[in-house]
Amino acid sequence: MRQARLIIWALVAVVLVAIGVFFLTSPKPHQAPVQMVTSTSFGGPFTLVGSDGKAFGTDQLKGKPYVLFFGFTHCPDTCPTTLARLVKLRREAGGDGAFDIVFVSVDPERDGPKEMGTYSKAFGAPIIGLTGSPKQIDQVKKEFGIFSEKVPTGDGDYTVDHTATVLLFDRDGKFVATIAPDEQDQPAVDKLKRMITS
Amino acid sequence: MKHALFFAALLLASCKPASAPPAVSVDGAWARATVTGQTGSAAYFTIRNAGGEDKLLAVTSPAADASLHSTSMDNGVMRMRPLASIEIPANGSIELKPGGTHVMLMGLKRPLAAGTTLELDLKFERSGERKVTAEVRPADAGTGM
Repeated sequence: MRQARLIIWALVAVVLVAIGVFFLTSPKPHQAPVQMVTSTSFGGPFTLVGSDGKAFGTDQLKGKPYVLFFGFTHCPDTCPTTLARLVKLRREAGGDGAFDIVFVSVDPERDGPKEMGTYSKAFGAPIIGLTGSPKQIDQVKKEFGIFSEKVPTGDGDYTVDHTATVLLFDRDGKFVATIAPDEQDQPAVDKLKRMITS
Repeated sequence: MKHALFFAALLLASCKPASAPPAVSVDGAWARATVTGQTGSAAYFTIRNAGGEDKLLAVTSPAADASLHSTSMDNGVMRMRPLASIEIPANGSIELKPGGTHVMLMGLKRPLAAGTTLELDLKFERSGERKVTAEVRPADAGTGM
């Protein structure tokens, strides 16, 4: 009898520990999706539309590391700030040719190939601007865990809330790291350097 | 009697003493140049206050629909929201900068070209109205954050 009770208590203990481990290791629901995925399951090949109106696929990025940033050309603050910053950090990490900066629109209704082309030229260094059909963009957003949501500004216009995390990929297209929007320059440059040499 | 004193004290405590008059100045105003096709941009400046507290109630511009906005990061997601006003602390300063609080310019009547200027009209609760001339800088200016 004593032994049976002991076994039951032991079982209870095992179950409690298992529950504890489950809660400790399961991802927190409020974490950004980007941080939850592992490099092997992350991203995926995509085909979008380049600023020349022609299809642009991931195979065209192979052989050179690249960073992926999602935004929109009517973005008054975060997007130009981030792109200008990426150009600056790229110069610090290795120069304009060290890696590609890829800017993908989350506002394909307003951003056609022409708009992406003009906008991407405004930062004094090469930036690859990509857009696509709303369906293509949705697919790519899903693959990379990117959130975006239109927010009306009241006058019939709208702005877009969106993930501003920069995604880093090595020359083989393998995801290596992220740069958070509020991250300091030095750790960001270190990550970019590691991406260049990996 | 004791009660009356207590309430009198309470009443006094709840009355904020009138603070010193504000001494507000605005400097370093700039706006980001637009890229062809863009009808929106942002403007930034620093408000310095050498006096009592004040509040920035509104920013308008003859060149665009201007409004105060904050940019906040929520787990990597950039969210931009209108701000009703900005508190200017006594003897303090408020900096509007890329990646943070900014003046959103929508429906620009003409493109903003680098090297030109843009007029901004600031309305303060206590200091009244101030005209500020913002310098238009290239689209890749300001890496902020």
